[in-house]
Amino acid sequence: MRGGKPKKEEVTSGRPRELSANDIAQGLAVRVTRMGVKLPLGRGASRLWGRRHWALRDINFEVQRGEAIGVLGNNGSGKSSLLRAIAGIISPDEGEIGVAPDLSAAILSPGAGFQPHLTGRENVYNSSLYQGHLPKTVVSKFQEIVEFAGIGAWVDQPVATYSAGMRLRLGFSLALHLPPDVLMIDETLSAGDTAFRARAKELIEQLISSERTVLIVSHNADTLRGLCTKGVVLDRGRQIAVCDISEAIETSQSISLQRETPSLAIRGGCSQASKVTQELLALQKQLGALQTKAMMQAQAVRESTEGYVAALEEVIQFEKKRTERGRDVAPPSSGVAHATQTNEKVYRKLHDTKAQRREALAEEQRLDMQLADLREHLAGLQGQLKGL
Amino acid sequence: MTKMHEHDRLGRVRRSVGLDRLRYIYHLTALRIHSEIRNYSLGFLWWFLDPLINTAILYVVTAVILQMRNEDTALNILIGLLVFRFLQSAITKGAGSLRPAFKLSERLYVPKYVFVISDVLAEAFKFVIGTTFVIALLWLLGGGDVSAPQVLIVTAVAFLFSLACASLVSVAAGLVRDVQVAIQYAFRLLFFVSGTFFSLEQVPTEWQTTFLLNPFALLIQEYRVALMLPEQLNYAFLVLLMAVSLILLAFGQWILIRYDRVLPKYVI
Repeated sequence: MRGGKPKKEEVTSGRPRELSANDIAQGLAVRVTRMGVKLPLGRGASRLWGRRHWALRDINFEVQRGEAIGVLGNNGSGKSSLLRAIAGIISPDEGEIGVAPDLSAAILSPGAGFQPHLTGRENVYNSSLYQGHLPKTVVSKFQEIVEFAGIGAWVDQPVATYSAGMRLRLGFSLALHLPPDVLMIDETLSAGDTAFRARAKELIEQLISSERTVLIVSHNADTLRGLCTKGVVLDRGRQIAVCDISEAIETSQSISLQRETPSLAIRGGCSQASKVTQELLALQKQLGALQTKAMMQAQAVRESTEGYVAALEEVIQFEKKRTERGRDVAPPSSGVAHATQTNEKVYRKLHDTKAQRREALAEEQRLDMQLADLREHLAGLQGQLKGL
Repeated sequence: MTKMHEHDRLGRVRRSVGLDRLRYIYHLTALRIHSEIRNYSLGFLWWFLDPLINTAILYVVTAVILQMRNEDTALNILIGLLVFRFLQSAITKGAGSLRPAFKLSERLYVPKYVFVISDVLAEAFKFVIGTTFVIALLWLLGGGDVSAPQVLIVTAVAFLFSLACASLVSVAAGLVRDVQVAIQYAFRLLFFVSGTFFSLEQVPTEWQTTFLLNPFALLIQEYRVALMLPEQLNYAFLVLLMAVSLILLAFGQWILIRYDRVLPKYVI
C-alpha cells in the first residue's frame, strides 16, 4: 500500500461521498470530480511495495438520474476501473466520486458467486446474497427470474450439469431482475444466444425508460447508439471527451484508428477535436495511399533502370559483334539486312527504356514532393490537436 | 419485498444499518454451512466422523504403539482434536476467505470483514455441534464432569481468539498466497506442541506454565477441564487470552474495514 504517499487533502476515505441536497435537487445521480485511481504493477508480494501507475486520472463528468451513458475506449483505457470506482469496489486515490444517498450503484454481475455443486435455485439465493439482497427479496422475484432464464425444471439440478449458455442466462436473468438504482453494465450485453440477447436488451431498455440510471461499457457502437444519449470517451486512463453519444462513438473510433498508425495524441474538446481528427484521418489515409504509390513508383524506376541497362548491354554486344564481323569477313547482303534490322531493334529498345526510366524518375520526384507537402500539413494538424 | 440496501448507496450494506449487516452475516454463514453439507455425499455426518476417525488413528499411535496410555486417553484425544480442528479450520478458512471475496470484487462490492466473520462462524457452528456430540457421548459413557458455564466461557474465548487470528492473517493471506502455505506449516508444528494427543499432566511440571502460554494448548486444556475434570478454569490465563484476542480482533477488523476498498487493487 505504498508507492508514494499522496497528499492528505487529495485522498478520499474510499467510500464515495454523498451528493449535496442542491445536487440532488438538480437531479444529479453521480458526480465524478478530478478522480484518479492508481493501480500497482508487478505480481505477488512485489505489488505491495512496487511501482504504481495511474489507471485513471483527472476524470470529470456528471450523470443525471434516468440518464444512460456509454463509456467508450480501447482495451486498457480504464473503463472497468471507472465502473469499479463508481460502484465503490475500489477507492479513488485523488479527487472524489459523489453518489446520491438514496441510490445504490453496482455493476451487473451475472453468475457472481455461483457454486457448481449447488442447484440453480440455491445459486439464485447464493448469488443474490453476494449482490446485497437478502433471500426474502429474491422469493417474490424467483419465478420471474427462472422464467426469463428459460431453464424450467433444470432449476433444481446442480449448476455443474448446466450448459454454459444456461448458466449465463440464469446469472443474467437474476442480475437484471434485481438491478441497483445506478446499473453499470461492463461488456456483458453479448451474453447468451440471439433470442436471449434480444430479450435482455429489451429488459435493459425497459429499465432505462423507467428512469433508472445506466452506465454501459461496450465496443458495440449500435448497442451504445440505441441505448445511450451521452458518452464518456477514455484513452489510456485519461478522459478525452464527454459529449453526445454519436460524437463520442466517432471520437472513440478515431482513437482506435489512430492507434493503428504512428501514435498521435488526441486530446481536447469533443466537437473541435472530432473535426480536426476527421481531417487528420482523411489526410493520413491520403498519405498512406500516396506512400504506397511512391513505393510502387520506386519499384517502376528500378525496373526501368534494369531494362535500360539490359538494353545498353545488348547494344554494346551488338556493336562488338559487328566490329568483329566487319574486320574478318564482309557480311552477305541478307546478313546486312538482318544486321540493320537488329540494329534498329536494339537501338529502339535502348531509346524506349531510357524514355521509360526518365518518366519514372520524374513521377517519383513528383510523388516525393506531394508526400513532403502532406507530411507538413499533418504535422500542422497534429500541433493543432495538441493545442486543443 | 424491499432490497436489503434500500437506504444504502453503492450496493452495499450501510454501516449504520447494523441489523441488516447482522442478517447478512447470518445468511452468509448459513450459506457456507449449507454449501459444505451439499458438497459431500455424507454431508454433515463428516462433522462427527472426522474427529472420531482422527481420534481412532491417534489412539492407535499413542496408546497402542507408543504405550502413552491412561484411563482417559481416548477422550483426551477426542477433545483435543475437536478444539484443535476448530481453531485450525476457523483460522485457515478465515484466512482464505478474502480470496473469493477479491474474486467477487472484480464486479461487486463485498465487505471483506463479513466474509471472515461468516467463515469463522460457520466453523464455530460445527464446533458447537461437535461439542454437543462429545457431551452426549460423555453422558452415555457415564464419564466426565461437564460444566455448562465453563464450556460457554471457553467457547467464547476460543471463538474470539480464532476470529482475531483469522482477521489478522486474512489480509496477509489475501495479498500474498505464500502466507496460506506458511499457515499450514505453523499448524503442523502447533499440532504437536499443543497437547492435542497428550494431557497437561504428561508435560513436565516445570514446563507446564510455559506450555499454557501457547493459546492452543491453553484452550485445549481448559476444554478438558470444562468437560471432564472437576476443577476450576485457569481464569487468569483465559482473561489474558481474551484481552489479547480483543486487541488483535479490533486491529484486524480495523485493517479490513480501513482498507476495504484498497485491498482489491492489490490482488490479481
